[in-house]
Amino acid sequence: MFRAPVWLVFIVGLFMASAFFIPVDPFPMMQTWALKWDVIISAFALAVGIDSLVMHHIRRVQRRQNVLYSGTLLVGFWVTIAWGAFAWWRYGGPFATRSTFLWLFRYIVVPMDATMFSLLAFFIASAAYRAFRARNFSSSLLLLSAGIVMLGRVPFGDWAAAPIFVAFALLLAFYFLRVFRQYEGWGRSTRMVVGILFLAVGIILLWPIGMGGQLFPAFRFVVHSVPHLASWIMEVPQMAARRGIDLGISLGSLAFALRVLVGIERGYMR
Amino acid sequence: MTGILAFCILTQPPELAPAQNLMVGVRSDGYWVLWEPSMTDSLILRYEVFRDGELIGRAEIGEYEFLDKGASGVHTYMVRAVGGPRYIKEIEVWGMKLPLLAWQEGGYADTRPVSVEPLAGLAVSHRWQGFGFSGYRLEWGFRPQGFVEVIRDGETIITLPPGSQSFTDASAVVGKKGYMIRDATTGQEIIPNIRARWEAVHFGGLTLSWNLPGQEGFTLMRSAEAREQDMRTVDHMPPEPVAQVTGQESGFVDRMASREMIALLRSRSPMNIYRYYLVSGDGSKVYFSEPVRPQAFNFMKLPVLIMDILFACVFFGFLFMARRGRPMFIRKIAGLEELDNAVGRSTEMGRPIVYVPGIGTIADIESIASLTILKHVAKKAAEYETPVIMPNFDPMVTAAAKEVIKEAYTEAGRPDLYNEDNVFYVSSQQFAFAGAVSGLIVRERPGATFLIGYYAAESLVIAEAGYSVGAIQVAGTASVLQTPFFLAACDYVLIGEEEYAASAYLSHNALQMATLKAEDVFKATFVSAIIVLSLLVSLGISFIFLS
Repeated sequence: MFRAPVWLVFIVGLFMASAFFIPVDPFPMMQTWALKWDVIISAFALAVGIDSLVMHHIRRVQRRQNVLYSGTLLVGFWVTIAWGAFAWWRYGGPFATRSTFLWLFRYIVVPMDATMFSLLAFFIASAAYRAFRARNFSSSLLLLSAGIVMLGRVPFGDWAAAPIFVAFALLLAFYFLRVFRQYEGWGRSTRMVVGILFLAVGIILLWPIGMGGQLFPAFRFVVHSVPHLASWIMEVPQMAARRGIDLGISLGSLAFALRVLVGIERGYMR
Repeated sequence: MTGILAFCILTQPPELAPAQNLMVGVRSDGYWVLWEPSMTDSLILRYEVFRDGELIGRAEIGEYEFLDKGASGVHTYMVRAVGGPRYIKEIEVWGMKLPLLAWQEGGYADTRPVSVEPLAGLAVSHRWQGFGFSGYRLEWGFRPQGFVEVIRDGETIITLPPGSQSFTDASAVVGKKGYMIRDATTGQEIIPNIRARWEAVHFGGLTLSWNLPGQEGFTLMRSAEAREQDMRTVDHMPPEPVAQVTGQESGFVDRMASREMIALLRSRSPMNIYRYYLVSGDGSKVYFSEPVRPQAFNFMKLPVLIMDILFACVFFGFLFMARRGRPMFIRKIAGLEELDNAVGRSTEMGRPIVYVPGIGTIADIESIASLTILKHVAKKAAEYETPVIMPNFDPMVTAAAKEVIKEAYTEAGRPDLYNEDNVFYVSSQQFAFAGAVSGLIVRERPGATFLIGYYAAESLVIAEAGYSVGAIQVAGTASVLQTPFFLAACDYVLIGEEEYAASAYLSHNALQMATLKAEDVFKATFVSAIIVLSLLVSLGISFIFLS
């Protein structure tokens, strides 16, 4: 039933794959023609898409369903088309130098786009808050490494790192030394040791004078180390994980392409 | 008297200077005469171009080039800078600006004539030095003004053109990093800040040879032409200095050319060609080569072809085993296991499902993979009588998705439930799409959202909208940059290739499962090889191909 399309996909796929390795005509030329056809078909598909969009919202208006939103879209759609056509007639093109259509683009489309993009900052903050909650060992590790990377990459982050580390160490020391009495056995002694260790780290960081009369030596060490530590996290563990995923994606794409080429995967034929 | 003398001196027009650095480049459509503005450019009215003593064209101020269309063979070009009326100073008398010192049009300045002629057999071909050949890549982090000499162990190995910031020494020996660079103009030697990094070099360079009578030396230059995707627009790069060669030399290997050619080939710009020029010391003679075209086979991609063939062998091997009935075990993928549960939860809550295929076009492999998952979700939704709402970024994906959902509903035996109006095109503008989908999710309050496909910066905007309405969210993208956002905001995430594996995994078809098995075996082999080779390098056991 599907034999002819499968053969067509196989031949075209093989040809396009050859163009990847052979940079001389006719392969690049055929590849360019294929890309041109893609653009032509996309242009026709856009008309179908616009039909889908407009009819969808007209039906919603007819059904009195979210009339305000759909009405705004329809008005905006027709006004933009009319304005563009007027600019074509009056200025020789909607994006001509003195075209009033540019006003619409510059002062409505671009700011709206920028608004949506800037919202991302708040979404990142809210998602980061959820992701960085120290619920278990993995999320605690994530919190710690994310904190180091942020401090190492933002302006004055390295200088802010030392007081943050001091506060963090002393708070944890206070917590562990306060709660260890409530536990018994290994839990009790482990918490006590961890509390003492954090207290020691806090004291070392706040130690005023080091060898050679240097003021706050550990403090300075942290300030100098944080950017390097941030770079190391990004370049070594982060990059290793990322390359692992990249390797999987590459092999996955290759396997998918082979499945399509040999006709095992026919999800595109509907 | 002194004032009159000063007036006479000042009213004499300053002497005109000729155009500078006249050079004739060669293009497919003719000879390209290029020059730099005259020192007295503000006094110049226009430039006139002469070929073999005949005026062939004019160039206005600001245009320092002229194309002699259709020209070929041996010609001599000259550019004349023609002076025009100019005022040295203006004075204001009763509100009127009057010229105080003026002179009439007059005078011209000619450049030295430059002869251009083809030189057969100048540029030969790529010199292929084999896969795995390596060298040190040097980077010195600043742009020198003049020619730069790269010195290895006290010996100059190459002279690079002005502005060069890096060089790959293909003839390097491992461990010998005694490099130094010297600014050929100032003679200043720079040792620090040179970063020598060992890397693979796949092209040996482009070999040039010539046989010209003894001269005081040449400047070797190179120009390039690249056809754009539409095959008609041609991007021309003017001749740029490559190296300085002495009169005794009769050959050169342009190693930088191969690097640039690789870059051009990678940019998928088809049919790039180079031309080489030998310009005599005084600039009066220009010899140019035949166009140099890429090799018929891009050897840079040979390793890719080898790996592809190996992968195909493993792939067909497992396919063969599956045909013979060998069972295939595939690990569980949580995201795909939860697809049915998410649809079920949505049904229990009496809310619709929102399926977003991302911002990929139908040409993206991720969109195709997403459509496969869509069919499974839509079929399950049809069984549970739950509506599927699908906003789209690409019109062609919209058309394909409509067909996929329709078929899924038909296969589930409920074609009557299919509502074409629920699958619609929204916008091909990234953030307009993100805004529309977020609004849709907030208004419709779906019980489950499926964000599977190609995603960019809008991923978190949409995922957070889903989180805010309490929908169970299953996301999947091959974009490594967007995966963390999905992990933070969604309940289940298909990481990396899991999205591509979905169709095989969900179908439970032995043949499709076999392809996943092949992929896993290949991946395991790669990871093992990386671990073993890393250990060997760490232990100091190094081979040339390990570098």
